[in-house]
Amino acid sequence: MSMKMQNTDTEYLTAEIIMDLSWDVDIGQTMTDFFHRLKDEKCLYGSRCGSCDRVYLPPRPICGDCWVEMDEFVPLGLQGTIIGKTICYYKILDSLTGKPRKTPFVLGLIQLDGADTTLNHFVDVDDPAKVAIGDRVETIFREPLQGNVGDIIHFKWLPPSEEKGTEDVS
Amino acid sequence: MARPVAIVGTGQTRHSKARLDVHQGEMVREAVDAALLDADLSFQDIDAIVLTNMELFEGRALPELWCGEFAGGFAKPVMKVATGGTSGTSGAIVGLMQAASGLFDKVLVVGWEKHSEGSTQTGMSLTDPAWDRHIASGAIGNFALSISQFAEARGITPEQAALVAVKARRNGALNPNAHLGDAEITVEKILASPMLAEPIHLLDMCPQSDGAAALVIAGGDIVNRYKNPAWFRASATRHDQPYIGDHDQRLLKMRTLRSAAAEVYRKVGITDPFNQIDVAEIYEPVSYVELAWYEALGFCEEGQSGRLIESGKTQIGGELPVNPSGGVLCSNPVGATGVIRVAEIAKQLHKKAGAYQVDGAAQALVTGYGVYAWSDVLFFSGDKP
Ligand SMILES: [Zn+2]
Repeated sequence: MSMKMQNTDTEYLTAEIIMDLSWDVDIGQTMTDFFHRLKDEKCLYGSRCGSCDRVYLPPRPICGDCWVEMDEFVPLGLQGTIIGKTICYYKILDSLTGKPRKTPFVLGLIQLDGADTTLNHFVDVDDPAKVAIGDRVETIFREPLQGNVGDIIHFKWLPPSEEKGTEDVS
Repeated sequence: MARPVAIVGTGQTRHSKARLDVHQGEMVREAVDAALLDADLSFQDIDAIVLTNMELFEGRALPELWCGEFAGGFAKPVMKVATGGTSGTSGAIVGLMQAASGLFDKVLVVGWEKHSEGSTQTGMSLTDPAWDRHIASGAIGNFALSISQFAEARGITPEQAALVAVKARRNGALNPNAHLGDAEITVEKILASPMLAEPIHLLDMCPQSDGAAALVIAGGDIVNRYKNPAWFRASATRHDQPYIGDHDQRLLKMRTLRSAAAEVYRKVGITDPFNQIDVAEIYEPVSYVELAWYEALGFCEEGQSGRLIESGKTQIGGELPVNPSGGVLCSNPVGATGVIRVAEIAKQLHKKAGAYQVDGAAQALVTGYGVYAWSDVLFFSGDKP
């Protein structure tokens, strides 16, 4: 008998894959130190390259650009600058609650004071339309701190006038 | 380079949203059969095989085990290359190097992806669980953040980006293998499609496709058998640092693509890319990034990419047609996407591109883009090096 499928309008069959797996991965020496410091000091640390002076968040043992070891942790500011922003209208699951995040929400590319790298994270703001590149934000931590990346809940948008005030104080 | 090598055959499936009628191996077989037919070879003639696939998307390990034989891999050297979006271009480079080294005369490269299978959750394990995963917003949000920066700095308008998508979908309508294509698409339709993440509309984005693509690479005397071989001239690959945030000006600087293009241009003697290159197939997953790639590839001065798309010079019939096949914006089976870029350039040099053939195409550029900012650049020409 021919193996050619005779009935071309057949219903094609599928095989189910069920994956419900979880496991732990080792995060290494630098990130272990980073998260212990976060929990103990409520401070984010970057690593500074002695060769190119670049400060990396998250910290890492080697500067990829220079291929030299970094051995200096530097504390970063709790405030930062929005260098890219978007208003998202698509559904994503909130990693803290496991439930879909309410749309629209604002994402920012945030450069913390003292860091050369950026992180993308949620921006907490009453009106998404207010957020502009160059605006300032402040890190909002989970209380109590647990010593993992979930400790950063979001970044609170600071109205430009309020930010000026803090600058005057400092 | 050790010895001249050329692409002498290509084959692709019809890329689509879901190929329910075939499994991954059967889909691979379709592309391989088409490429062998195009090169007038049989599978016994092939000396080595390179597979490219991002198995995490389908959540299935070791695709080389159960798809290798659908590429004719029994008792032959088979290897798999997986480097994110650049998988296909990286696999092509590996195959070209294998032939150029003289190790093998005929190498088959086949890439595929079946996005209709699998779960985005398996793809999530691509990121670092200690840092990136909790804040990963997916490709669209990440692109939107970099695009906001690029668009503001360069003054790119949504209309200019939409022109890229219009060009792509109109070209796609000419390509029988393309997943998407719309000869009637307009800027208004792109801008009226749902907003995903400002400024990216649904129709600014590439689709997720099921599809496969294959190349037959040949070195040595056998190449003389072919009328218009697509000669390989040079390639360069650049990887970058691991976190999305490591690039504070990703699209503005795009250091991997600039550096890889500079190396390739130097190797093949390109000093004026826009005027010396006849056709390009570049990896543009979002309309806006095609404009950023124009700058990084030296097709225009910084800040002039919006003007370049408006000029129509990158359309078919223009001075430098970019993605006459419809590009990634029309077909995106990730593991195959880079192979498709190379195959489409080979088709142009073989003079087999049909309705989207670029007249007089002789000097041709390919790029691949993967993960957060990895780049491959390849150059082909109608002249033997
Ligand atoms: Zn350094």
